[in-house]
Amino acid sequence: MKTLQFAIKKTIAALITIFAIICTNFVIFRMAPGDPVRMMFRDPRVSAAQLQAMREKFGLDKPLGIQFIDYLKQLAHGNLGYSFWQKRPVIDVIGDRIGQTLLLVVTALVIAVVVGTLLGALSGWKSGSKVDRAILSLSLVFYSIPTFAMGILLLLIFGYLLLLFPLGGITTPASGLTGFANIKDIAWHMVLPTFSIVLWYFGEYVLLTRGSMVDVLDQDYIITARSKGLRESVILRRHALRNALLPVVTLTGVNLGFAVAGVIEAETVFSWPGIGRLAYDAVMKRDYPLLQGVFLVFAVSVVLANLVVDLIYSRIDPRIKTGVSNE
Amino acid sequence: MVGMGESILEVKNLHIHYLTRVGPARAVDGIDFSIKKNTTLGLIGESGCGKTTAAMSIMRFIMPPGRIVDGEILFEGDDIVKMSEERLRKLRGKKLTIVRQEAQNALNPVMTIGDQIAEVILEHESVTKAEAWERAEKQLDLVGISHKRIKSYPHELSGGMRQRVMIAIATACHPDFIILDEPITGLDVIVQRQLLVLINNLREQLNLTALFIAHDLSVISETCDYVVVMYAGKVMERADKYSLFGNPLHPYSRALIEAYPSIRGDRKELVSIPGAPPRLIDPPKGCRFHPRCKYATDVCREEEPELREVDGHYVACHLIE
Amino acid sequence: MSSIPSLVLKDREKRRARRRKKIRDFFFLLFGHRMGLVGSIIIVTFIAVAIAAPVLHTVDPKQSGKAANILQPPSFHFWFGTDDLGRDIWSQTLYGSRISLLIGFLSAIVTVVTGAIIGIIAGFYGGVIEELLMRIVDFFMMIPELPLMIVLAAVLGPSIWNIIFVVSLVSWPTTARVVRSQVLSLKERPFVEASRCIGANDFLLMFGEILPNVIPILFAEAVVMVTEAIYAEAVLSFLGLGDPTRISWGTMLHFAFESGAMASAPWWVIPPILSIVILIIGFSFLGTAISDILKPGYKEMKGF
Repeated sequence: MKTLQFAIKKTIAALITIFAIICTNFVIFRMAPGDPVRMMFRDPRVSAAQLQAMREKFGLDKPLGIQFIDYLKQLAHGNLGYSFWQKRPVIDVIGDRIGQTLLLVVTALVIAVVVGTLLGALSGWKSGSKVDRAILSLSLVFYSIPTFAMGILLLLIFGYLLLLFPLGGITTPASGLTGFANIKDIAWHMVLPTFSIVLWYFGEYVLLTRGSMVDVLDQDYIITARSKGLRESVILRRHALRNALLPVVTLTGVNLGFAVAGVIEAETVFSWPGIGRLAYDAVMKRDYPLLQGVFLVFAVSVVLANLVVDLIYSRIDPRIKTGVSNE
Repeated sequence: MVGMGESILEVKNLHIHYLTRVGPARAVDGIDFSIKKNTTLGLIGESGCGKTTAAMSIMRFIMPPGRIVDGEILFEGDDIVKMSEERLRKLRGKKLTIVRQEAQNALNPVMTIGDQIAEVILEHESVTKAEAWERAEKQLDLVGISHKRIKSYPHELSGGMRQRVMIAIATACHPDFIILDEPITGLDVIVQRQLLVLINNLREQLNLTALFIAHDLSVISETCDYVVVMYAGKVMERADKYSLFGNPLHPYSRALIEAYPSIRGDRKELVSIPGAPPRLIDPPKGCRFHPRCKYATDVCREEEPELREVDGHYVACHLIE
Repeated sequence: MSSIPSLVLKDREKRRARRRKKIRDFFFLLFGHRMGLVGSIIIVTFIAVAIAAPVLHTVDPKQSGKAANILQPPSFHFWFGTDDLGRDIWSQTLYGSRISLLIGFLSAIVTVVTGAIIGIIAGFYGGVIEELLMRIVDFFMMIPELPLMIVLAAVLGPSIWNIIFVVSLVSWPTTARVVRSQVLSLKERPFVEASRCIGANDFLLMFGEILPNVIPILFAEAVVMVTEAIYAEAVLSFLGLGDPTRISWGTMLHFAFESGAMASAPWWVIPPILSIVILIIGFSFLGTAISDILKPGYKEMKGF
């Protein structure tokens, strides 16, 4: 039952972290210099009385402690605030767009992880060779190009110059496409933003997997495997990879923060209607409730995703599955 | 096939170098020995004398910057040094096996021990998975582990048990020849004794021919028929067990045996060999042992002694006629 | 690495000579490393450009131009062309290097100093202090960086000092963690005990003995932090959170993006993007070279 113990421990830790994030969220927006209501309504024609009314409406005149409890109560009801820009509840705005972000981020992650891991494993297996050096240099160069920069470059070259891909958005406007044609349209719009994310992210996995592979190949059990007369492919698959990929799984969780950054940048450059783009719009429009909501959603998602990764890991690593040795 | 009285393994003029920036380190500098079927050859010497390097070279596990630069290793008549990788792979695990010194990580941490034993059987013999698994269970019985533990993972076993699993793996395909490279070193003494008994029983039961490497003389004397004494990459003396321990001829062999305290008789001061083994990049001229030998003469400092037969032993010393 | 407590080694001259030799050896190894050499050249070039900006620029970068000069392609007068306000892009790019490097280095220094102090304290004292500090570190590492930086920057307002603060706040935990694990292994070494025996107090032990041994890894971390800071500043500025009075490359891209003129004026976009990318590559290469050099056995392999 070690797995259950582990699962409970990790879940509790995740919940505590989520609570800490909620508190942080609250604190950050209250520590803004200046008057939050002034910030939301910068039009100098708004009178002081109107501002005071606003303050009361949003409960901003109450003591901080009460504001915090109110905030928690709201959250418990799924109320993330009211977006000034969109003139509707934040939760609705986010709900509308989260699917598009998931589509983009999951696709990009899957491609990046698979390609990165394979290349990294190859690089590590042939450590020191020309193939290894080539893969490393390539990865390092791509890793140095931030997603938004890559996005702009891809947009300029493949969008504007070569006219191969659309310049933004998720579908061709007013085309009225449905069904399969619609899906193809979306896929076509997805290519450039996905690649902007992938081309940075895969480098992370190449480096990770390669390092792990190099460590594993140094281990005694690889010599034992060779002394059994096993074929190279078997040694690679069953002994090297299976062990090398374990730390990569753990680190996937840690790296999700980068995936979030990537999706925010890509959605901004390509006007992809997801919650990453919402962050940019909220900043531009000074819509703080919306920004708060987006931050909360991103942060909590990362914590939950990490939890899922930890739970999966506990099932695949026998050292955790069965507990520590009984010597 | 090798008949009784014939040699399974013949090492001839083996030279292994490790390339360093300042020149080659001559880890094994011209050694010869052979092992007859159903006998056990012991290889002793201080740390760094080249015995593990020699053992690993038989399996051709010498990785750069190490290299076998000369010599032959004839296994059942075929030269391992020149063999193709594919042929060698088929020998490893099946006819030619090794058990190394206990290491925390000598077993794959994410595979059950049953799988790891069955794996070598499945590779070399055409049996079904179920049959291989049954054989694995029998192997565990053979080495004294309850076969209920067949689904255990290595981290659930103690050091001694893990070493037993290594022995189970090495003997799984009924090999002709097994190398035991310090198989009990590093374990606690009671476990050492248990494993030694196990190894001796298996040698008889399975008719194994073995190369046993150790630096503990008592272990060698209990398990081996024939002994080779190495120093600084060279063979100093070769003899059968009784001749060597009864009447060691080479000053180094004598010193080694004298350094081993006897449990009987009066208590004496512990004797050790002064000095340290030489650096293999630039070994001493003449006899390698002369800087530490109390009998060294001028000829010892100048000329390297050849291995000569004296009184049933093979000795490399100018002073022994 | 010496295991003689540095407090005991009274011979200052010898110590200085040793340090000088170590630094010399390090540079030899660095320039011998392919990536190290390329990275160093790139970085030095950019620093030189940043310093020489007042000399190299042709037009005041903040000077809006006449209507006729809006969005001009590269010409004899405007080497990289102009933006939508008629400003000279070559000059903007030059001065942009100052912002990136300034923010990069300052953030890295703050991050590394903070991370080092916290890491050393946590590793040295252990127990409850370590638990507490490491929980805080874990918490920060769990939060996705860019959203946190965006939120903080939005709330604090656009200024380069806020950017530096925000970037450092988000980055110090990684350094603290790295330093702490280094300290844990150093704590047990004999030279620490030896110093304790001659009566060194905690503060001296931490910052007199342990800190000098942590410096190599701090240096490696600092380089990584500079890379992160340059990236972070670029992203935040691109998203409109940068300091509008100090035009950085990210801000240039932000204006280009917002103006919708990206397609028609690629000369506006290419210089800042290439500058960002090449500078980050420079620091990445340097970071890789340093981590290679610090690996045990590297010096010996190269014949030192």
